[in-house]
Amino acid sequence: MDPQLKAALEILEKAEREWKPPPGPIVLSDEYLRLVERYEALPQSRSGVDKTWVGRLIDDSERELGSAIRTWTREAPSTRSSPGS
Amino acid sequence: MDQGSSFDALVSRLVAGEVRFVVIGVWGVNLHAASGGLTFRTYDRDLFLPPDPRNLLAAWRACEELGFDLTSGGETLDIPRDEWLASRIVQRRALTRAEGPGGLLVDLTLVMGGFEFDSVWRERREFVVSGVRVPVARLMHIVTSKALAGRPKDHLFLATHAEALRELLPKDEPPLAG
Repeated sequence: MDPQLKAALEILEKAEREWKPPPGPIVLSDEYLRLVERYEALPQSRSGVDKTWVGRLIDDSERELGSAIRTWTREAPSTRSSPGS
Repeated sequence: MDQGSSFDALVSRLVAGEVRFVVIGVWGVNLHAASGGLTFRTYDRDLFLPPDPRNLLAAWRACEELGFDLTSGGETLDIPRDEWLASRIVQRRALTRAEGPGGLLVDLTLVMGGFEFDSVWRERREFVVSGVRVPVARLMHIVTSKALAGRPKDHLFLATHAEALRELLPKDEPPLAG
């Protein structure tokens, strides 16, 4: 495997292993709430706008993903060994 | 039939049958999208219904007519599916899951964290999908409800959504504090 790809995958694996949600309830920041308000005020967010494209986009994306071929399989942790072990 | 077509057919049938519901959850967020960068993958689609047995029964019938299998609590929904059963489900605020053609999963929920149906209904948006006006909860209501749910997947979703909004909103306004 390409060393750069391997390093990137290892970083992602580590992040996945170590990520934990912050403790306590989720508090939405004022900044985020203002962004949502601004977003809701956009013309594309008004009633009557045609959103047929959303489902089609996601269906197309699912088909693309469905036809993907796996080129790398994650090793199970128990099968890993280091030199000399 | 793909999942999108199955869902459109169900929503169209619900609207034609005057069933009251609003789309919530990640699919609701997707329908608010102004561009592809604000759409998210989801394994199911959530419809929020009022605690009204007749309305729930009408939703079940629409699902059955389109060949959806109905379950509740992991078990096939009892037969006969009548108003008595719908009343029991409403009393328990239990969820009905509808599995449709193409593996589409639709959750008919009577609960949306932090909100009553009527307040969500009053402020709904109606987007057009395949020629049908689909009622969708306000984006603010959906994200607030997700924050209240507080599951790990909600943390991840809200963080990703915030980042996508920052990327996509016009930057000609004064910098945001916070």
